Amino acid sequence: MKKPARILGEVLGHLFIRKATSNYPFEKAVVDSRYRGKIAFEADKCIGCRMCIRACPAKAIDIQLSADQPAPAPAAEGAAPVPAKKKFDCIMSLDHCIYCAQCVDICPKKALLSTREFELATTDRKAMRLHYK
Amino acid sequence: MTTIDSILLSLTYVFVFPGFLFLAFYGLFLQWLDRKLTAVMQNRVGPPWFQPAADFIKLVSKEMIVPEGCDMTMFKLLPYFAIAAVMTSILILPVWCAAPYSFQGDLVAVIYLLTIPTVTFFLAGWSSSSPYATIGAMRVLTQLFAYEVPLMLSLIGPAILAGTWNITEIAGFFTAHKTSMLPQLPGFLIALLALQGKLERVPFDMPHAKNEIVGGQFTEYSGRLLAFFYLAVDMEMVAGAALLNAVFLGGTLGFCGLAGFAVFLAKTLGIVFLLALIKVAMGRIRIDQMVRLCWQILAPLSLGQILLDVFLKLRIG
Repeated sequence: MKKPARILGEVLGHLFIRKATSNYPFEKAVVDSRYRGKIAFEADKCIGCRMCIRACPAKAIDIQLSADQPAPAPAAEGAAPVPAKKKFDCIMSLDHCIYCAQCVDICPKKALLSTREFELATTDRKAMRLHYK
Repeated sequence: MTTIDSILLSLTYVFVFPGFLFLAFYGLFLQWLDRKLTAVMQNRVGPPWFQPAADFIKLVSKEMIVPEGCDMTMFKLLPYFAIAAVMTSILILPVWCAAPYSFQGDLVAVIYLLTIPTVTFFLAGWSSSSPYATIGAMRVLTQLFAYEVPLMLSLIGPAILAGTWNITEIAGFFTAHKTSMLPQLPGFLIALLALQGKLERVPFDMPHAKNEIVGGQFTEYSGRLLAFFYLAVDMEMVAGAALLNAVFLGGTLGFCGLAGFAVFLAKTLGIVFLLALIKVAMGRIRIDQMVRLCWQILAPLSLGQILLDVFLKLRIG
């Protein structure tokens, strides 16, 4: 301590500025807009390329063909029937997920999104397994 | 009847005000204020007002473990000795008007009484039979010999100027001669630093430096005994602030009753603010640096303060 109390000015300045920490959980925590929280899934955008499964380092995500597929559009007279766009389900295991959002980054159709939701703790492990349809 | 009244009054002084209850509550409040101020100065939010009380209640309700091979009686009695010493010292210090028990030479008595908690900390570490606690205890003792000298010397200056060894009379002198307070500023700052050492706070918190020697002298303490040791430190902060207030800042400034008590509260809060400021603005130093600082810098400075006070005394006559 060659220069004792050299941060005195800074210390006194802190008395009058907004604090770097918050009173969480009594006050709602404000997280950054780019925060990588719980992953959301938009089924109508998914094309089932399974890139997210390959990217996921924690094997927390699975894309499966949905059980209820939409009916094909009625074909015009004489034309070949146009197959309906396939529908996929996403199964997220929140207890495996490390919230790196590699799946979000790699998804070519932006069907996966990072939300700012982070209060995901629960005592029921089954609740950690989300089935997005 | 009068005997019963006087006994009741004495018991009230000892256990309610300004004794145990007041010391405990105000001590816990000052601990919160210190933690909150520290947090705010470090750009944090800090604990809620009830945190020290919650910590105390939690510790009291926890299991008390006494290590094997330690001096059982000493180990269990020491926290209460510390509290008793501080409780005795506050009876001699002016809190709302003149001190309840005031006598010639009580300044020396208070200095000695406030040394007892430090000695109990040493004995606590020594009787714990743990290496960390032993190192902590040795540091407590080394530190005691370092800070106690400038503290005593800086308290002698105002006593010489006031021409009395009675704390209440010293406070009365500075109330009557307010301008005499200003030349005591160096002594006050030295006493603040020494008080920081007495309370084992940064930069003099080597005895329980957590990242070096775990909990220092309190390593083996747990549950109720640890809670009472922490309470003793909080109470010591009240007594230390009250001592500096009385000796350097004119005590209650001649006010009595509620007004005097308000003055006491305001000034002790100010002293705690300064203590928190020192704590935040500095880092922990080594024990050898501390001894050197106290003996080579603070002690000569406080001797200079005494010389100044002798000169002023000759001028005043």
